[in-house]
Amino acid sequence: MEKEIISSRQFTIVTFLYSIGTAILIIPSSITGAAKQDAWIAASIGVLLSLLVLKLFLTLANQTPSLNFIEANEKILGRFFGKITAICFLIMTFLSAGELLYFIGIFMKTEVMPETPTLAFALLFSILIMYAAYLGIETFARSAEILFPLFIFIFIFFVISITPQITFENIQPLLEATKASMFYSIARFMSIFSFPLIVLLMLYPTGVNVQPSAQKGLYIGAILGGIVLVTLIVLSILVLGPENTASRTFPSYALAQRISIGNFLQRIEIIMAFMWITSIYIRTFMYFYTTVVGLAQILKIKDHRPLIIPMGIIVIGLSQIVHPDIVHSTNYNNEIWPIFSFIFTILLPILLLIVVVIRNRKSKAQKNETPQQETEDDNQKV
Amino acid sequence: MVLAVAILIIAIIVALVFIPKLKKQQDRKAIIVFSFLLFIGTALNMGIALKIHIPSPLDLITFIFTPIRDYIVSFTK
Repeated sequence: MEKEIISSRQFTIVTFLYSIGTAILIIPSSITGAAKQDAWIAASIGVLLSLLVLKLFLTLANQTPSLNFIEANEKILGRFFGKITAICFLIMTFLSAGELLYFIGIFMKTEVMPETPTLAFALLFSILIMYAAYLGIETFARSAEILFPLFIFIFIFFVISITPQITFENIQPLLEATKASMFYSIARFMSIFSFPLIVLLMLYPTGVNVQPSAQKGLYIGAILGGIVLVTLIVLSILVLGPENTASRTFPSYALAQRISIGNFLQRIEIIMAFMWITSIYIRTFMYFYTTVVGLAQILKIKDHRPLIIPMGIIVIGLSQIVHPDIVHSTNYNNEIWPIFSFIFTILLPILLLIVVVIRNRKSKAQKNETPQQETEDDNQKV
Repeated sequence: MVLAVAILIIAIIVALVFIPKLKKQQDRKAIIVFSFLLFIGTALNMGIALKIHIPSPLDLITFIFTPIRDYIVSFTK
């Protein structure tokens, strides 16, 4: 398999769209459910804490500059344990890929085309993902580059055209949330926004042409993504009100429905839906690509491309069974996913980092010891 | 029923297109993994098409992590 390399600018754009991902659709409702009108404070704290998470990921990635995350697992933890942790990680990414296909299906079904089965959307979307995975990461990065300006343009248009609807009473009183509800909303926000960024370690050390500027790009992309999300949460609270936001499944879509400029420019929400379809495309692709490439690397198969179609067929099936209904999905995303992702995206890198540091120290100590031993041996000989 | 047969036909076509290619490359491991995954995918999709109830894999994960979650929730109260 020839090596594919993307530029650091493309990497920044992928990070930006990836960190927005599904969060743009589901985060406002789940986070306002706990912290009410203070959700935007929780989200801002979450973005700041995410920088620490990114620091952890980058420190780990810089320890093994020639390997991606799956290979690093095997290198650091040894063949057997490394394979186990890598497989657990891939199960997480694969389930998430199925879940995202479920999201796009259920979003289109509930809001746009109520009589079409979700399987139709999952099928069309997964064909797109499979094709992108077949063409590889370079083509994907270029497609992200094309989608990026459109995304920014639509986002700015969205923000400007919704501002007349703002009522500031919705956000008062400030700082009323309890500590526990604040903790829950920060955990939910980070579990969807920043924990999954570890998937980008499949690209970062090996697949990027200039590594220092890609490091900066990771921070910039995540911060910009965080700003977009915080803006959206603030707008949902200001326009829809905290209770209304919390009770809706897709608050940002409801927000777009409220756009009305001079009773003339109305019902443009489906143009706004371009934003989340783009960001979900980027995220689903990254999850799917990680799973396929990771599986090929674990099983030591040279080319990952033959595995794309069977994995795609499984992921279509998975999207149909992964959540029986929307209540199941809300419960899972609010209660279980933060813990599940915390274990494999935060604790696993910390474990890897500790093992690497200990190993490096040992090898350094050995290097220091060996010459001394030799001299001692020499002395004995003499 | 029609959908299940259609899925089976698609799977057979995919197998007929890809397996000779892999055979040419002498990649036995890839053939085994490919057939295994294709088998799982076809079985899963046929099960869905025949409306057999398949439990969600997330239920298992929910089962594993619920005690940890309860512990954390009791911690914050």
